[in-house]
Parts: sequence; structure tokens; C-alpha cells
Amino acid sequence: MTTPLIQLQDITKSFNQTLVLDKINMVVNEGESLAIIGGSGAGKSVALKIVLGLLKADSGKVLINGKISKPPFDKFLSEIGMLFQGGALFDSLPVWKNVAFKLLRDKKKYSMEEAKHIAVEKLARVGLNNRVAELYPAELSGGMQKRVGLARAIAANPAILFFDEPTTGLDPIRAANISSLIRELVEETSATAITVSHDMTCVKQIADKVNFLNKCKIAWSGTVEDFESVSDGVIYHFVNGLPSVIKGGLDI
Amino acid sequence: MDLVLSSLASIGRGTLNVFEEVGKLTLFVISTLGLFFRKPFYFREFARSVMSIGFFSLPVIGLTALFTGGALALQIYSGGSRFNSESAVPAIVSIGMVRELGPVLCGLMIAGRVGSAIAAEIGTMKVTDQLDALVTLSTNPKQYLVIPRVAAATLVLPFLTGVGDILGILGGYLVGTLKLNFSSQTYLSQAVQFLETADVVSGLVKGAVFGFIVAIIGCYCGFKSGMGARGVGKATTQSVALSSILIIASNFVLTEMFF
Repeated sequence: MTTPLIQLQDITKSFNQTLVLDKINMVVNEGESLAIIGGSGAGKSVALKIVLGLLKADSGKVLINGKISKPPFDKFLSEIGMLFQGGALFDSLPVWKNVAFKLLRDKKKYSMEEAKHIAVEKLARVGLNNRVAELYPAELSGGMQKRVGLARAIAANPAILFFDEPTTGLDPIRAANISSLIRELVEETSATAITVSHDMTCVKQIADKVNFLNKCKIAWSGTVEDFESVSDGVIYHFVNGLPSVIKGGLDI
Repeated sequence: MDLVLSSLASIGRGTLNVFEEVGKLTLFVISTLGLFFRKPFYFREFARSVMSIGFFSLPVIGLTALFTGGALALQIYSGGSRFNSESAVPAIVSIGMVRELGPVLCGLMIAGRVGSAIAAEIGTMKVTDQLDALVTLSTNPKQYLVIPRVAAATLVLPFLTGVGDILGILGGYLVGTLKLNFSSQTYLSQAVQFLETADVVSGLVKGAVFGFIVAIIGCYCGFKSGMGARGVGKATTQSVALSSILIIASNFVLTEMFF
């Protein structure tokens, strides 16, 4: 049996005595595309930040390649790419420098020209032309910022990709475009992917496996197909976008 | 009885909050100082900070010092004339500007102009996940954002203080010669005659300390900024208030040391 790439064991996290995650367990194997889904405020992004070491769990363990890790996960972070919900682009840098940020840190490996060449290439891969490379993030639309964020995430050819609400705030057409682009990129690079989302259309396109968070716990775990075929309870309501009418239903 | 207890409780809470804040700030300063000697050093960020803190602050510092020097000359003349000491105006203006007003005014103006900008910039970066983005891009946010700004402010403030000193003395000179009937030569010779190297050095050292305070407090308030526009606004206000108080307090300590 192979060692999981990322494993969360009994992770608990609360903010100001409000419990957000209650002893959750999660396994991500190499090459898998996992989606963490759930209603707003279910703790999806908190779980993701704990995996990345951006937040410290109150209790529980994070294992990377079977080894217990404590933040900051420096070596792990050098192998990942991350797309943030709002893009999180650096306002003071032009688009191409945002994309090449990680490459420019490694001056021994990449010269300025090489880094710029790769950045322009990655921008082209996400459908943005040369002209955009010289603009500043504030000059771009929300959808373009997401694409630049995506280009930055894949710039250093990472082995693991994280996507935090990749389609939130986009119109349905742009959301579908971003989702299919993510799917293509994940397949192209054979990367392991973890996506946090509450958009079922996006999850169906991107993920193979689903972890459904509800009431601070992982309420369901399995394949996307099985998730969609659940015919009752909170999951059925979530998948079909129905108001929760069941007592003790979706915690939103 | 309840009123007494609740008053005591709120005093206790307030005291604990102050100690907690002092502790957090101390830890922030210590962790930042530790990073000063670690690679990489972000020269581009440093250069950008030198420009924004130093070069773009020159007009504000220059005008403040010029008018303060002029006002100081008038006040000293007015006070000095009560015991026939009008001739002391040039010496007191130059010593007062170089030892005290130059560095303090420079520090306070920079706290308002630069400290607030640093807190707002870093606070906004926190709110928009840019600090987290730096971490995921294998970059230590403190090393990337704090070290260049603190280094730039600490190095640049003595220069700004020097400029402020010169323009303050010039302000006094203009008022002295144009309004108070001092001859140009007398004013300049008296202004320089009583000025010692130690006066200049103490003023420049103060400038460096105030620069460090403004930048580190601006960064600290930015990093601990609450979420949303309100959180960033509060961080900005706090940075100006806290660094102004610390400048005034440390000025007393430094003056005592150089006394």
C-alpha cells in the first residue's frame, strides 16, 4: 500500500471558542484530484490553510508523505502552486512578475529574461496575451485576475495544485472556462489537485473524489459520481441546490 | 459593590490587554531582528522603500522644518527680548532644530505619511490573501515586506533629519535677516559657532531610531490588521498613534542619554 501524499489526522480547529473543524480526517493520494466541498462557512478554506501550514490546528496531525509536519512547511511549499479565491495578486508588480514571482526568487536557475519568457508562456496557456503581461493587476477584470492567478500557480510546474474557490465571483461562462482550464492543466501536468469549492458544476468538472464538510465534520467521502447519486438528506439538497428542510440539515 | 467590581475588572482587562500588546510587539521586533541577518535580502523592495520613505517625503519634511525654524526664531526673539537676549536667536534656533525639533518633527511627519501607508499596504495585503500568497510562493512575508522597509526607514531618516535641520536653520535665518534685523553674516556665524558635533550626531541617531520605530510599528499594525476595510483603517490609525507616542517617549530617553 502506498503512503498517502497528504493526510490529516483528527484535526480540530476553533476560532474564539467557535468550533470550525472537529477531528476531521482526510487522505489525498498522489495524482488524485480531491474536492473539499460544503456550504459557506463550513471550514473548507480553514482545512486547506491547515494543509498548507498557513493556520495551525488546535490538535491533530498533518502528515506529508507519511511524515508528521509542523508549520512552516518550507519544503512542501516549494512543490506546490495555489490559486486564491480573489487571485491574491501583488498590486505593486506587473502581471508577468506576479506570474514569475517564484522563478525570480531562484536567480541561479532562471535569469530575468528566462523567467519573463516562462511567465508569458504560462499566460498564453491560460488564454492571456503578451499585452496583459505588462499591465498591473488593478487594470484587469476579475476573470483575468483569476487566470493570472492560475498562470502563477502553474509557473514553476508544481507537483501539487491547490484551488480555493476557483469559480466564485465569476459569471457562468467564465466559471465553466476556468473549470475546464483547471481540468486540462491538472491532466497535462499530472499534478495532485485539491480544490475547495461550493460550486457543484466546477467540482464535477475538476475532481475525482469528494470530501463533504458539514457541521465541522467530514459528513461524506467518495467519488464524484457516487456523491451525485445520493438521493436523500443534506447531500441531495446540496447537490441540487435545494433549501435545507430537514431538521439538523445543512449547517448554513 | 457591583459597580466597583466591574470598574476593577475593566481596569484589569485593560492592563492585561496592554501587556499582551507589548508582548506581541516585542516578539514581532525580535523575530524581525533575527531575519536581518538571513538571506535573501530584497534589494528591489529596499530601493522602492528608500524612494517612497526618503525621496517622496522631502517636500513634507522640508516645508515643516522651514516654517518651524521661522516660527522658532520669532518665539525666541520674543522671549529673549524680555531679558535682552535677542542675540541668542541664531544659536538657539540651530541647537534647538538640530538636537530636538529636527528629528522629532521628521519622525512625526514620517509616522503620519509613511507609517500609515505601510500599515495600510500590508493590512490590505493581509485582507486580500496576498500575505498567504507570499507564503505559498516560498517567501517569508516578514523578510519580503518588513526587513526592506525597516532597513530603508532606519537608514533614510538620518538624511531626512539632516535636510530638516538645514532647512529649519534656513527658516530661522530668513526670519532673522528679513524681519528681525540680523545681518546675514552675524546670523550664520552665531548659528554655527555654538553648534557642536555631538549635537548633530545626537540628532541623527534620534532620526535613525525614529525611522526604525515608524517602520516596525507600521509593519506590526499591518500584520495584525483585522479583516475588511474597517480593520485596515483601524490598523492605519493605530500605527500613527502608537509610533507618535513611541517617538515622543523614546525622544525623552535619548535626550536623557545624550544630555
